[in-house]
Amino acid sequence: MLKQTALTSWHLENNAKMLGFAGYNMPIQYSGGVIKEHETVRKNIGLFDVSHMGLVRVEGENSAQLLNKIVTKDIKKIPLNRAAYTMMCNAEGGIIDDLIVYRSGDTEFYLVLNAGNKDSDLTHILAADENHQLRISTLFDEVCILALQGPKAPQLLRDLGLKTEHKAFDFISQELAGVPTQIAFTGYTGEAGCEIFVGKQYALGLWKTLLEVGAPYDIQACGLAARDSLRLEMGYSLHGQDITPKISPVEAGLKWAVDFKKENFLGKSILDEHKVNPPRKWVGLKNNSKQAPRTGMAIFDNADKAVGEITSGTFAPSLGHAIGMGLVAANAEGPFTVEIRNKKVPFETTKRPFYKKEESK
Amino acid sequence: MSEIRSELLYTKEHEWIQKTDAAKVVRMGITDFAQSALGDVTYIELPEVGTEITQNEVIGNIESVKSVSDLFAPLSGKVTARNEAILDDPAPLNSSPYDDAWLLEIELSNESDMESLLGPEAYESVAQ
Repeated sequence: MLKQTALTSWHLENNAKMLGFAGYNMPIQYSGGVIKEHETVRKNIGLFDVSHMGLVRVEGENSAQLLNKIVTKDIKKIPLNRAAYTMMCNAEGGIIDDLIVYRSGDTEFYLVLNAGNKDSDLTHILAADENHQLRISTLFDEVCILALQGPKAPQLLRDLGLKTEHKAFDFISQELAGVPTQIAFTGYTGEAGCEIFVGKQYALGLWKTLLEVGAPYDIQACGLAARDSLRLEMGYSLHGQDITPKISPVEAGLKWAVDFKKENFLGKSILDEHKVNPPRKWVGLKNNSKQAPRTGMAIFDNADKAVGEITSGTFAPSLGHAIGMGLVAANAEGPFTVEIRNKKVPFETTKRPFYKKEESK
Repeated sequence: MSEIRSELLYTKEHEWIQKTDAAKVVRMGITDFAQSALGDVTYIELPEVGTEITQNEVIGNIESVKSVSDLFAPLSGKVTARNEAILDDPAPLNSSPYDDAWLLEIELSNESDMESLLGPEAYESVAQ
């Protein structure tokens, strides 16, 4: 039996195509289609139900110190009301999960975990807290997360009474449309906007208000399919595909989210080794075709030797061509080809983000 | 509710087949049900004109943003035409699957193969 969010009935009434995702019945797309939703987020505003994500509050005298044992970033450096992207690694340096840590007090943090990893993440956090010094509250069933994403999102927030300007990764408590919320200026699309944490009892009301007040900006409800094509255009990694417990942050090209100067954390010794001598490296690929490279397809180097595989790929709606990312042997040299249904298709390498505002089609 | 046209024949792989004015030549495409299930189509791979195809074999692919689906030969024969416009811009496959977005014309090796196709009512029970 799939879990529902407070918005599931709204999704069904609005003809969403639904799919079980990490145990939740989630909207993949609405009737306008994924490309229209994708373009809405790039040009106007999209509103996503991402309540399947795992929100956890951690409090306690030593919370920063204890979390620091299991995440790659130095939590102590996150200022009050700010957030940081980081990862949890296993002893082999593989990524158990990627997460955003939000600081709401000197000793209080919120974590947003991937839906499919909630249970393994909690086990991991509890293991770090061997003397039970932390108060860990799972808010999975109490709080909904609404992602408001797009260039016109800041204006919509002003219309709803938000008086202050905010930067990416700010995190504030704020009454919005008459209900208490916490607003995280984070997202997974590369656009301006925020993710709103709101009590389940207020979620449907707030969702409808955002759609009403956002109507002049052509706001649209968007599903998880558009969320995926948007994040891929930015080159953001997806846990389970681009990053897994068998891939290290260094290999995945996420060194920037690791504080190598931090004294110690689980997996650090392996990451230190990878920093000098990584077994594999991240590659970004693109070409002018519309035929997408897909997860698991083999990548061949300039000597036609199989050197790795695609971890994510798609037709990029904002670019009008195929993009993909993958992992290849550290010494592999391009130009690379990808085997798509028995044909080796040439790709050129590229950095992330794949999509930059000025390069849109 | 997806559209099923009464004048067409169908396969259980959600393809439609229409007789043309030319003897033994049929036109094929994918059904409204199929395009709706696929979502926005981004890329189509079709066999070249002149290719001999055998009923039920994979002859191409249809890609949407999220997935890739096989295209099956509805009947045996030779490809005599393909819709080049739809290869350049696959969007009509979603908006107009029965009209602008035909895919191939096939000259049949055995016209009697047509008997294996589904009528509109039989297809309706498949397309749900």
